[in-house]
Amino acid sequence: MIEIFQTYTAEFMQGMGMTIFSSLLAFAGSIILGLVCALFEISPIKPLKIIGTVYVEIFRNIPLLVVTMFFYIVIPKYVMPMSGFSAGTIGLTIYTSAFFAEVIKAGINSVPTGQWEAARSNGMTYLQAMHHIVFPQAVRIIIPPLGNQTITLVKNSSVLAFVAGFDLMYQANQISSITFQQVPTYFIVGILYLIITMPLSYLMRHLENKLEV
Amino acid sequence: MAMIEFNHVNKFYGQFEALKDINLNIERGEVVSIIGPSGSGKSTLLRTINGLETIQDGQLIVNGFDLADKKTNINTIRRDVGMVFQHFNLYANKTIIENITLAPHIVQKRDNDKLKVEAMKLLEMVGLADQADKYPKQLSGGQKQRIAIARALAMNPKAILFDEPTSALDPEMIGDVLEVMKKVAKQDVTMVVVTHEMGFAREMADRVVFMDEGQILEVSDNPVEFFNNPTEPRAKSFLSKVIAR
Ligand SMILES: Nc1ncnc2c1ncn2[C@@H]1O[C@H](COP(=O)(O)OP(=O)(O)OP(=O)(O)O)[C@@H](O)[C@H]1O
Ligand SMILES: [Mg+2]
Repeated sequence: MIEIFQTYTAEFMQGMGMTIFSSLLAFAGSIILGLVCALFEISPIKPLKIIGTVYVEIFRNIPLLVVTMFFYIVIPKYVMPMSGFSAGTIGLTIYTSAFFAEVIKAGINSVPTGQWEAARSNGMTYLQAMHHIVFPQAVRIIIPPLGNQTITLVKNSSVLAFVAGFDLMYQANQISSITFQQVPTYFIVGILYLIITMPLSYLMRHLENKLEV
Repeated sequence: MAMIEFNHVNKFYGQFEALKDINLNIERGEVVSIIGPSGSGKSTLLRTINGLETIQDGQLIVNGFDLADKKTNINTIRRDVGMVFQHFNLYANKTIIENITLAPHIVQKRDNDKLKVEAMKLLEMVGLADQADKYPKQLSGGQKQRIAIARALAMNPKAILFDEPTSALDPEMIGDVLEVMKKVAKQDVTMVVVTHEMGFAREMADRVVFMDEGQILEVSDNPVEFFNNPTEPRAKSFLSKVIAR
């Protein structure tokens, strides 16, 4: 096992770098898209509400691989060329954003209506009440489940292997098909994924504890 | 021109008629108490005044603005009409002083430093100047409610709506809150007070409104007389029950 790692260190490291890079991009994208969708979903404006709800329902209920394949196959064929890495990361973003939206929506909805009523009675607009009163209180509730979704996102980034995205899983497939040493290869990959996700779990627990008080 | 004018107002929750043909004028500076049994529509009536509930029929004019008119911006009305809730609803993520200064700052765009000075005066008035930097959850119910009144006053409102401001309080806290309300009643701000505190209604109100089953059954401009000798039979039976308690 150590031998395999030593021989293919560069490949493993490149894969890990790609997995982290793709996850970071998808995380940033999912936060923005998820927030917009959540705000749409709870919006008092009907058309926005419909757009948000439809988006979330669609992408939450299609397998990640299918969403990714759409960007890998359909878009390059009819719209514009796209690398496996881009297709995988976009697919991952869109899929994850639907879950982020649900978490954010649930957090906002769990703030007592009395907070809304007080802010609106105080003369604040909907957006002012959201910005100053409701959303800051929702954040405390959102962070733990959002942390879970983020760990899932990192694990889901292995979808890049299916679209030649040069991530950790892709490199593992390559190495094991050359060496026929599947067990040690995937063992190493498992450990490398843990090295990414364990600090995230720890960070999450730390944040949760901080928010408790 | 009256501060608040109800003309044949009806309010439905789905099929259920919560307010039936409400007619009531509340003058500027007046203190009006609304009493009546549970479920009679007191909160609903109060909440239509600042648009927390919409009306389906009739006309409701607040501070010169017609609430049913599409051109009326509800936020304009709310700037001049404060509200105090049964469960306080202080902003949980803000300190006490921020609770008081936030809306005047972001809604009325007033200067934050001046607002802080004013807020400290309000805190003194409600007897809680030493609590300025605490968070709501560190305060008792009675303290929270006094802060809620200070928060409403900070907007320099023309009217304040109170929805059972003492109902969620321990008995020993009620007095402090009523004291603050009495101070407010002596200013020229209009007060509409839904309350089970018959003492406050009798002592402080210019008029008492008795509601039952979504209707206004009796309006008395002599509260003392009303409590001693209500004309409406249902008011009689209601009062005998609350006073017996
Ligand atoms: N959001 C709502 N949806 C449906 N029905 C409602 C709603 N709010 C109130 N009602 C009904 O309207 C009627 C009047 O309610 P309201 O809260 O105004 O009574 P109230 O006089 O304030 O009673 P209480 O003294 O218990 O606070 C009640 O029958 C109540 O069940
Ligand atoms: Mg009520």
